[in-house]
Amino acid sequence: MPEHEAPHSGLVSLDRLNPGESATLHHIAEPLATGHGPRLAQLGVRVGAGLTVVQRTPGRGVVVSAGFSRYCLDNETAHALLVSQP
Amino acid sequence: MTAPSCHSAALRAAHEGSPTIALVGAPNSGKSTLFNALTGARVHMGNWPGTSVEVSRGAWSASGREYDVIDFPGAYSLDPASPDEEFTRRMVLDCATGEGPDLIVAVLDAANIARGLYMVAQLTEQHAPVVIALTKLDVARRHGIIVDPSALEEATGCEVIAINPRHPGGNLALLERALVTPRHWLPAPPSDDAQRFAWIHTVLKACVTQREVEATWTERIDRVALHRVAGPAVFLSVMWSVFQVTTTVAAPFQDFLDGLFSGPLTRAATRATQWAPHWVQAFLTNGLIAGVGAVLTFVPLMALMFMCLALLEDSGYMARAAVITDRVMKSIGLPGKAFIPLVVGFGCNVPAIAATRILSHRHHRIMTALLVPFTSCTARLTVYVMLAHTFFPEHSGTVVFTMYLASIGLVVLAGLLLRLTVWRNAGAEPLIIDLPDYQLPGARLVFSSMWTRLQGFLRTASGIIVACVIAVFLLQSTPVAGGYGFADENLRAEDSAYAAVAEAAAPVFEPAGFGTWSLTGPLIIGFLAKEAVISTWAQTYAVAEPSQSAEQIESPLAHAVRADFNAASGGNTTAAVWAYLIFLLAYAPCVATVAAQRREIGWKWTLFGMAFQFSVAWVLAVAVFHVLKAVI
Repeated sequence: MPEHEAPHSGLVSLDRLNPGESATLHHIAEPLATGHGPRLAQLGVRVGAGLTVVQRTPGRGVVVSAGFSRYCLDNETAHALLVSQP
Repeated sequence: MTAPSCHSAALRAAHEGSPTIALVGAPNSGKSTLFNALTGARVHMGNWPGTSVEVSRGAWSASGREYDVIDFPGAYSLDPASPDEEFTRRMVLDCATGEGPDLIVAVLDAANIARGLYMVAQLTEQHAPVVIALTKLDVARRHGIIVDPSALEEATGCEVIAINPRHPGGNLALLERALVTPRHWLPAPPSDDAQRFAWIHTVLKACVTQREVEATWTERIDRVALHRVAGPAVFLSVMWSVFQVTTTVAAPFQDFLDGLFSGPLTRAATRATQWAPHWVQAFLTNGLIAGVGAVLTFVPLMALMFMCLALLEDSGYMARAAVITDRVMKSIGLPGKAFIPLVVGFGCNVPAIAATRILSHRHHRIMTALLVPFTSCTARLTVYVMLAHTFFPEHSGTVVFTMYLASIGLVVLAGLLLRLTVWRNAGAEPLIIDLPDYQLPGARLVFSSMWTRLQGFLRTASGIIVACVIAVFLLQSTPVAGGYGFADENLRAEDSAYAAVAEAAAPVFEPAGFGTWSLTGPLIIGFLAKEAVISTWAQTYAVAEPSQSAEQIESPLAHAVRADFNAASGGNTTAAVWAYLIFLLAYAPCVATVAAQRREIGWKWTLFGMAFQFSVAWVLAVAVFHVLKAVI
């Protein structure tokens, strides 16, 4: 079972959030964490950061706002970001 | 400092020994715009992450002194995640040994300040001499983000200059003062990721305030441009417009130039050289003038294509286009933005190859440049129409449509083949892309970008095109039978070196049902320009080209071509014609496309692409011939 499908108590993947919903990033699943974790962290998408889903895009991706910036993530990337909602 | 050697786009260089200033920063931070403002150079730039895929350098005169300014590729950090970042990292590490630039200007986008500070933290750790150029304060303000430059200066220990390089003046004088004032560079303490992020947090807290604002124009436009249904519709409309501009709008200009070279200029050259032997006249008109004319007729097309690309980049739409097409392109191992050159290829392959420059990673550029020739350009359309009218008059529209479907299928097939063989270890890149604010493209920026790219095309492509046109002229003018002189007016096609070469190549195509010199020869000439296939047939059979498509069915040319295919295929004409059509679609790029490929991906990959295309085309043509022969 891929890591991001493993049970993480109370966590959901970012792609499950509806537009307008905010959450805190808790975990980045493999292989994204190893391959692109440092780059995501430099962009402000790091554990502890607040993320807000702005809208969904074609191909089931999402536009998220992280800090002062907005990014578009594809479905696989959004699925590997595990967040908790307040 | 040692000058960067890779991909330097040389502009007016500074004098030897001039102090060197390096511009670094995140993609789309305004770095290239600042470079242009400083040097007045026409470097390519755009509102698009990853525009500075090459290093540009130019001279900047300030306070009576000249500086060598280098625009480095966009990078978020000094961690080498891409070749661009590796290059920037090496340059900065050279600072520590005294080989690097005399000053580093870290360009920081105020609207996305957090992601630029990571690089600043790493630079100061290296004791690099850093000045921060703070850009896009107006954009930040629209988002409710207020950055205090003085507080930023205090928190980072680096001199901070707030500038707006998009506007004349733009506080460049302040930057000038900062750069020419010697100072002591202070190192900053962060040394690992945790400390850097903590440092960034502290800096942001000290210099940024944020207030709630209503949705910006960018966010409102994105609700449509990135909408699940409306987004693809908008994208297709934009692509349709680009296609129209590069074909319909360019056509009258191309026709004018074509007419000028083949008409008045050729006549004038003939008159001016009446004293000379016939071969001199023929070389001048059919070799040189035809070759230069072939290059120049591409200029309007290329200029319009480059203008469209610059508009898309500078407006900010290119990032959205990449999002829309990401999933489709990922299936063949390419990022979404690779869709743009492929769409453009259906108009003309030459500007499409140039459009691969929007791709940040080299292997994506190479792969896309190898796939573009499989897109069916409009030049091939003329041959499809002629053959469809000649052999399938009742279904000519369906035949042409089938060729376009076959072209799309070939792009996917070739993409999968390359992905499973040459790039089998290259995993699909996740899409993590920042969405820059939309802005009205600046006319000066758009035209300077267009001009720079156009110059590059002319510089590198023109020699190859002219050389190939002359080579074919020599083949067609050299007799291999007695009784003719060189470039003899009465030289029959079958007595020329061209026919001898075609005769030698013909057996290769026997398995595909068209192994005669008269059917093979036009494919050789088609390497110059695909539309030349028809005129070559007309020359070969010594008949006139039909001027109307309605005339094609019963024209002497149609009769001659039908007889030729029938004889070559042993009566399996339909199968041979389809095999020929498929081969023509895929077998080789035209010479102008080869020149563009050579410019973008180098000779090694260009030659590989030609061999790859020929192999795919031959296998498919043979398969089509034998399958259809069996079922018809």
